[in-house]
Amino acid sequence: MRYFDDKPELVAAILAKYPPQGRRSSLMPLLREVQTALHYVPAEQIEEIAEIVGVTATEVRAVMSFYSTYSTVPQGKYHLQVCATLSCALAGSDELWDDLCETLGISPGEVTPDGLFSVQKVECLGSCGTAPLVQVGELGYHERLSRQDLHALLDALRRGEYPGPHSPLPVFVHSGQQEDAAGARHGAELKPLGENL
Amino acid sequence: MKVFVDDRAVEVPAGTSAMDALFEAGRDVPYFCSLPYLSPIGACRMCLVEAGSPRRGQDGQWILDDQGQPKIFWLPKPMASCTLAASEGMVIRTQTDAVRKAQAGMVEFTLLNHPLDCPTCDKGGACELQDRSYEYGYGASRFVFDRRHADKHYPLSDLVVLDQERCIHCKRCVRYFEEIPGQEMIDFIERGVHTFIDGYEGGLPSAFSGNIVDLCPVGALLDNVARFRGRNWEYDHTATICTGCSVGCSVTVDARNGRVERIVGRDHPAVNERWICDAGRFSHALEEEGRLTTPLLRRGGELVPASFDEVLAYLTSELVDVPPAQIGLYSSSDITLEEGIALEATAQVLGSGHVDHLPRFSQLPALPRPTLHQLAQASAVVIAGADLGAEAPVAELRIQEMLRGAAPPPQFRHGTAIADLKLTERMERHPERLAIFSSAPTSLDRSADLVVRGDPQAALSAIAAALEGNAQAASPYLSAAELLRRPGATLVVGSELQAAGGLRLAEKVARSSGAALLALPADSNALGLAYLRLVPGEGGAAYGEAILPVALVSRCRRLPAQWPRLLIVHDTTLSALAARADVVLPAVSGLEKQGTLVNLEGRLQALRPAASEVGEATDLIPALGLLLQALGLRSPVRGLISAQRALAQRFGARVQSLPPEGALLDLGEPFLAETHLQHQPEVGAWAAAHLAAARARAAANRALEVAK
Amino acid sequence: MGVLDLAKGMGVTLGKLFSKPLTVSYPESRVQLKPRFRGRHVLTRHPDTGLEKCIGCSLCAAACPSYAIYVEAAENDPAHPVSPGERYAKVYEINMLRCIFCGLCEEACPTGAIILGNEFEMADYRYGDFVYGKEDMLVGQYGSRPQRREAERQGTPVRLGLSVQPREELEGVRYP
Repeated sequence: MRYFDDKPELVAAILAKYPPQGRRSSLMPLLREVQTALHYVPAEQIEEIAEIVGVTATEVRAVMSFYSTYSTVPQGKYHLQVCATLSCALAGSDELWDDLCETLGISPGEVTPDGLFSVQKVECLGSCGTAPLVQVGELGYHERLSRQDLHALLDALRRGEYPGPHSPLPVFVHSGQQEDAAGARHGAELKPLGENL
Repeated sequence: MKVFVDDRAVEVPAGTSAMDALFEAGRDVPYFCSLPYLSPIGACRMCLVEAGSPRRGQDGQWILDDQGQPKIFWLPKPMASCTLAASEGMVIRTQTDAVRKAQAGMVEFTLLNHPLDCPTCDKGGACELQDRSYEYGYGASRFVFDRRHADKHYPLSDLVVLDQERCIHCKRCVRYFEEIPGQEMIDFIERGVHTFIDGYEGGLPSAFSGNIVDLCPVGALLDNVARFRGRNWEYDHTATICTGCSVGCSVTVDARNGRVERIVGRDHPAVNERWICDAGRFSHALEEEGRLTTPLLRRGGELVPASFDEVLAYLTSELVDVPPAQIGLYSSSDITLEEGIALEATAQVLGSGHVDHLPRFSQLPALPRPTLHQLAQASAVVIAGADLGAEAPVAELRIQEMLRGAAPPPQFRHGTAIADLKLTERMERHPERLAIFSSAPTSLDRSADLVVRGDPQAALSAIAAALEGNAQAASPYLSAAELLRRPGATLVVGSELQAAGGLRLAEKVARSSGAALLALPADSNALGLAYLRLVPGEGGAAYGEAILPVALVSRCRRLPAQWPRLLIVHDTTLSALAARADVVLPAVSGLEKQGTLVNLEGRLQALRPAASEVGEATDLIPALGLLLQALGLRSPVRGLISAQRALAQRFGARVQSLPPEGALLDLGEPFLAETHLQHQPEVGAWAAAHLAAARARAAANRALEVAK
Repeated sequence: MGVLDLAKGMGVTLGKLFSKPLTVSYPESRVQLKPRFRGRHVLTRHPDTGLEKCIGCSLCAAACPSYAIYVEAAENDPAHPVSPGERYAKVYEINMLRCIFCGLCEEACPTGAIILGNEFEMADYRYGDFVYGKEDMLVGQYGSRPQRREAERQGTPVRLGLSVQPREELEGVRYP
């Protein structure tokens, strides 16, 4: 069974938000839904969304690949996103990134054998004053990270003890984030710590 | 609307972009993403200019400056002129230091990740990026880091190969597929410098995909068939027309060392705009296979190479007792008007009525023919018994244009509007304006709301009945009748209907609905040849109808029902027919001859020979001359000049001095005769054969080394 | 003109009588070439990989003022490349009768593949024999066509009538 097969109300609620000529706009919430639920968008769901929206799979991929929040490959329980834009780069994010990849033994698109970690280089996260910066999944920002701080964080996460972020995400991510026209919430629930993996 | 470009004033129609206004004024800006017939999107940011406009105050009068002149409100930053609409009194500056600096800076940005492997790039020498960098760039780059590396050999299909490193993200190819054939095939994947072009639907459709090679401003999309065959300055360019089908697209044929290496589309705003179909583009791959370069003569049961003198001696001795009136002359319908009138004259000299050309239809419509331009602007189109993808592919693109509903781009002094602001990405299409009635699936089915499978003649009868008010409510025939009743509607009929003799019915439908009627001719010059006496005369036999003592057959691939006792074949290759001939004369292909063709609109267009090595191959006129010489006769048409003179007498037009866009002429009354040798949609088979040859040649480009 | 001027002139002549002669009795003895001499072209290879430097771009042919060069390119087989990259010269011919040894091809070459070398003894009997292909010009080929033909006929090594200091740009060219 495909992802949206048993969720006709959700699809209807998403599509109802846009006028008929703007049906393509529903691409983003549909992708968000699958990404939230599965932590990545498999090829099968790309086809499915293309069919629902009435566009080509190429276009779904084009939209998806533009945004770094969508992933075509499975992610670890903790998706570590290292900011690589100017301020962080000047503050040593390149070294931090190399150290992270080396420590975990993975490169972008891979997951550690224990399923805990995946890594990604992202563009500015908007916290330039506290560079260098790592975002852990949807949990929050870890700021002014030195290598020691990073290793301590990784060790804590391996032990299953999350020390909490330095700052929460500036944009609050809803649980059940598909809001319909009446304001009711639908869709996959976002659980902390990526537990719905 | 008056616009001032660097203090030159030009008058342009409302809705013109600033880019077209400044080109109209004789100025130039660099651009990579704009292209005639495509929507302007301002992706490359190269065409930056400084612009400002006067404004009207609340009283409706121009706001004046201290000198009492309308005050120019300058836009704060340089603007991309392609997406900027010109307005009344606008002032555009293209020559200031700020503009030069902005343009040079953009060249530098564009070149950041461009690999500069121009020496190995097939686009080198004809590359927009090379030219614009030279004209507008600093000539140096301050970028010292590693360039982006990506896949340099990424085949999008068998015929088109992508070099991802060279791509400068102008989006022309993405827009082309969405806007022109209306098939979204490829898109940008990723973003920023990592962006690359790809499609996940598996390859490119092989109908019009080659056009993206022409429009790519850099060497990112390349013709895999002509890969590494020559540099652009080494080619001999010949501006001619394609003889593949009756559309008559303008093309440029590029040859090197006597070999046609590639064909590219040429802008003809009234016919093909700038697009050609893949079959026409890659047809040269097949044209050069197994070419005959000398005459062949049957000796001891075998066809052996011979000289023209030997052929003449042979024919002279063989034709001694043959009455000239018993000699048959048959040709394919893709010969030029010049060859046609020579054929007609030869038949008259022989006194033979055994003359015909094929494929052709028995009838021609008596109604005025719509032009392709009118087809593209029609309010609705009903297609009956035609598969345009197989019979006249580029006419399909004009129908897509009709479905998009935009008027054709205006023409300026610099040519077709480069940035026509009426065109946008993802324009709404109107599939309700198109109805198709045919027995087999056609390539346009995906674009039409109304598609009915079945006998097109029966469908036309039902439409005719519906036009007279005898139809059930809500039948597809009633809908089609309503489409045809719209002012400016066009009925298109093709081979399936015409071969079944349904043209009179189509005429009736067109007359009673007021729609224009476009009957697709059977071959690239079938329409023109209909105005020459090339049909069986009194007591004359059609091709293969009677056992003749002698017949000369030019470029027909169909085997006759009755074989003549002495068969002379004039063909480019040793076809199945030629293999059974007694004499084979080498022929030139449509790429290699000079003459005049008449396309489906009735437009006379000049055909010019490409610079290719053809050996002793000739067109039909010398072949006819040889036959007459063997009989001791002499025709008034013995060469191109005399043929042109004869055509001038017949049609009152000098075909040797046609304007570049061709000429729509009244050719008088056609000569018609019933024929059972009906046209199958042979262009489809032609296209399939040519594309197969092109693929083989593209594969051979790579296999050469493997074999070594 | 006085006697003094005549004596001056004769003095120069007499002086030369006792200096070492400049004439080389070529071809018995070898001629010493200057380092910037422009002789028969050499197509060089990358010394490390042995791949041909020529990428078949035809820029030499475009630069050639006497239209002496003909290049036909083809695509490299990735498994057995002839040159680095995608493109190599399948056919590379220079008509030595047309060539004026101006060196513009060398200047136009983006990869330093074609260098005007030292050999100049190419006199031959048939026009066709003056069209030198890759096999005649690739580095390692030694002597002109007539010289190699003669050497093969006589069973002796090719003898060049020149001697020259090694030149840096002619990588791999060694004269015995």
